[in-house]
Order: sequence, then structure tokens, then C-alpha cells
Amino acid sequence: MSGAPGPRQLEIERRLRDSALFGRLPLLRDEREYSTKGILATGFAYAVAAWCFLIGGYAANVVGAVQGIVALIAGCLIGVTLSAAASALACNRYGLEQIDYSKSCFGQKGAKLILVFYVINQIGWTGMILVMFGRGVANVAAAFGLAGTAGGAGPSAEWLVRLAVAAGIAVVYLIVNRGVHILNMFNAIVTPGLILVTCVLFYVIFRHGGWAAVVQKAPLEPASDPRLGYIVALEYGLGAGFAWWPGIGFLTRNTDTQRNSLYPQILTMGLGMGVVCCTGLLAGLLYRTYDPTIWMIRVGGPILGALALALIAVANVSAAALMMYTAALACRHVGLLRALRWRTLTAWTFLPVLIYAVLPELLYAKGSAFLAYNATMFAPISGVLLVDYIFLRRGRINVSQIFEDARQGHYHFLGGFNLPALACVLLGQVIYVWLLDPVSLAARGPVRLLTASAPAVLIPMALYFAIARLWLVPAGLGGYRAGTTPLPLARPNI
Amino acid sequence: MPNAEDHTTQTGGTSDADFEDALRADLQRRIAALAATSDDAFGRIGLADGGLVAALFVAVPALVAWMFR
Repeated sequence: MSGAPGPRQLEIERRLRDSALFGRLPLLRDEREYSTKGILATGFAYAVAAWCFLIGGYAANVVGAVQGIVALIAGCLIGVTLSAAASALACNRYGLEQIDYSKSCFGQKGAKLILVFYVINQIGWTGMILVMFGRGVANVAAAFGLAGTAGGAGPSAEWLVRLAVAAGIAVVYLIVNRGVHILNMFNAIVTPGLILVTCVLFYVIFRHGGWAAVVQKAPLEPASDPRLGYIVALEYGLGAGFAWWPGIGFLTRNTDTQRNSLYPQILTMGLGMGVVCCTGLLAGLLYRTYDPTIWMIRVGGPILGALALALIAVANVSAAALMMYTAALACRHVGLLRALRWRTLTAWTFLPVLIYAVLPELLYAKGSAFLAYNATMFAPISGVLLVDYIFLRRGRINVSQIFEDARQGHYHFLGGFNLPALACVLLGQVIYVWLLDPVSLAARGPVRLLTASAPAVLIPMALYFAIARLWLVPAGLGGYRAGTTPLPLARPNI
Repeated sequence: MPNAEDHTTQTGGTSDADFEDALRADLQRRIAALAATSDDAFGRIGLADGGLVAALFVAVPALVAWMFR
């Protein structure tokens, strides 16, 4: 008869549980936390975030109310559906984290290239919302006559923004290192608060101007061609939708069924986020600035505006901590970084964010380019993953081979890289940038008819399908015809 | 949400050999358990779901076209 487990055994079991919930161990069906109600609540908590107001503001630069509403809701819905379709179903079925699942398509080493885009996304959004936090602080100070308006004339306001961003980075670093669990407490206040702010904003916007007034407002910086402006706004919506790609696996591996892994994300991160973005759009048009840290003061006056901005500041710090936590965690996929202490690893991950404390205004003004760049990065990745998982693998992978680093592993491909899949992603990104440069918004070719994202998804999908059928499958590369029975691991990569 | 301090000892440089062995054994156990779990346990996404998503993709552009009529 065996005795009760000792403290050491209990400690190992606790660490294994943590490793399954928050690390890379596959999560079993009966360990999943989210049923329909749970994933809807969590999805809304993620979707109703402060950056929605900023995304809506960027759309107000280029389109009016009607086109903006259609573009944002359609863009968010389509972007989330495409980015979730393959990742959500696979991560749910096999309990895998996103980058681990990507190995089945891009190869053991190739998935680490995809990790670069993942980290760029997390770090870029963190920087953006920390600058939003900094501008909020500066604009509240300005409302009380303590400093100039952020983005306005005079150097003092920008220095205040810089200081606030630096302070925000320090706080986020502390949270990531001292215990991200306190964010649960933040989120219990932030999510209902943001929903309340959204409802109040809709009320104030329609009470001040009414629909008739809002609908007649021209865009803030209209494009030379109104049709191009509409396409750019649609790309912003798509960028916002595709920007969820890195977060999809983190959530859906913890859902109980295939349907709960897909539809709630479309409903919350697609439709829900699109609707909240529309608040930013309408407020931007009515109050003639894309920047929520300015129009919130105009909507609510110094006191209510400052309160709303304080809530947004907490929301931004909370979201930034979560993103930096997941970015640092994802870096554990790289062997060299896996051995680093958590504190050192997070310090390295935070280094690129410091540039937002140096050049906050410049990077904030270019935020719309970063938003569109999310579609550039993730539209082709989503398309190739979709065709690989749904059409080529028929929804089946060999989960043991995800953790196999040996050459004979199914997902080793050629030297660890699935070159055709990576080349198709690169091609999609080149097509996107050629059709619509996300920085200069220079448009070429049939972008007004096809958008930039549609060709960037569809062409890589079709090309990868053809290459896989003609070469990879017959050559036995990528385990397309291999079974799904677990195999003993020669070189486990965990 | 995890406690980051726990996480440092869990996957960071302070991991010990006992834990590494337990981690690998647990990985094998989980792989076997997932492979043994039927697709039905997760529910299946079928043709009707594909139809719904396809309809959404027709409905959204149709709505856009209607707005620009």
C-alpha cells in the first residue's frame, strides 16, 4: 500500500497543474474551464477594451458614420472568423497553445518565425495603449490647467506623456513579475466600467447631435477617393479582427466544445468589439478628433471625462500586463530563452516597449498603420492555417508529434521549416503591402474592388493547397497521410 | 490568472530534474488521453456550421453592397 504523497510530490503536482493551465502541456477535456456562459463572459471582457475607442477614432479619419459602422462591424466579424476558424478548432480539440498548434503547419522551427509576428503584435499593442494611458494622464492634467494638451503645442505635454508611459511600463513590469493574478480584481471593475462608459457615450452622442447630425459629419482626414477611404476603414476593421489571432489559442484551448471555441469568439471579439469601436467612430466624428483621450474630456467635461479616462488608464495597464505576460510566455518556445529566469526574460521582452516612452506622439500618430499591419501579418497566416487544418488534414493532427523535435517527427518538414507554407505567408504579406501600403495608405491594383486582405488570404490559401497536394503529401512530408496514433517521443521539446 | 512567481519556478532556470521527469511523463499521459478521447466528446462542427459561416460571408458583403446601392 502506498502512503500519502509527500510535500515534494504535492509541489510537483501543483506545478504540473499550472503548467497545463498556463504553460504548454495539452489541456484535457475535463480540465477545461469555459462552457458557453464562461467563454462569452471572458470573450466580452477581452473584446470590450479601451483600444476599441482608438480603432473607431482611426476609422473616423477616413469615413463617415454609415460607411464606418458597416466597415468596422463587417471587418471585425470577418477578421475574427478567419483568424479563429482553424486555430480555435484545433486548439480546442487538442488542448494546445497557439504556437504549438502552428507547428503542424509551419514546422517545428518555422513556427518560431510565426512567433516573431505574435510578439510584434503583443508588444505593439502594449506600446499603443500605454501611450494612450500617458496621453490620458496629460489630458486630465490639462483639463485641470496643470499642463498643455497632449499632442498640442509646447514640449511640456509630451514630456508628461513620456513620463507617464515610463511609469506605466514600470507598473506593468512589476505586475508581470509580482503576480498577474491581481488583474482578475482589475478586470472585475474594468469590464463593467467600460460597458457603462460605452452606453453613456452612445447616449451622450445621440443626445448632443442625434443620428441626423452624426451621419452628416465628414471624415476628419478624408482620402482623395471616398471609395479608398471606405476600403481603408474596412482594413482597419479587418486588422482589429485579425489582431486577435495570437489570443485565440490561449482562450479556446480552455473551452469545452468545438462550437464554444468558435461562435462565442465571433460574437464577442467580432460583433461585440465592432459595436464598441463604433462608439469611437461616432464620438470622433462628432467631436472632431480621433483621439479618445481628447474627446472623452469634451463629452463628459473635466470631472466625468477625467473619471472615464482614469478607468481607461486602469484598463490599459491591465491589458498591457496581460499582453506582456503572454508575450514573455510565448518566448519560452525559443530554447535559449527557455533557460532564462522569468525576471530576466520579461526584462528583455520589455526592452522594445521603451521606444514608446521615447517617441510616444510619433508612434501614436502612426497607430493606424500598426492597426492595418495586423491584417498584413495575420491574414495570410490565418489563410494558410485554415487550408492546412480544414482541407488538407481534415481536422486531425497527431498531437504527440507537436512535441517531437527529432528529424523523423511528422512536423519536421525540411530542416524544421515548412518552406512552402512560410513562402505562401510571405507572398500574402507582399501582396497586401503592394495593394495597400499600411503606412502611407498608397493603393495599387484592384484594391478598391477586392480589398487588400481578401487577396492576401485567398491567394496563399489556393497556392499552398496546390503545393501541398502536388509535392508535400506525395513526398510524405508533414505527416499528411500519417496516422494520429500517439508515438513515443525521441526528443520531446517541452 | 497565474501567479508569475509560481511560473518562474515552473518553467524557468530553477526547474529541477524531478520536475522535468514528471513533466515529460505527464505530457505522455495527456497525449494518450487526448488521443483516446472521441471527437464526439467535443461535439462536431458540421456542414450546417459551414453553411452558417458561409451565409455570414454572403450576408456581410450583401449588406455592404446594399449600403452603396
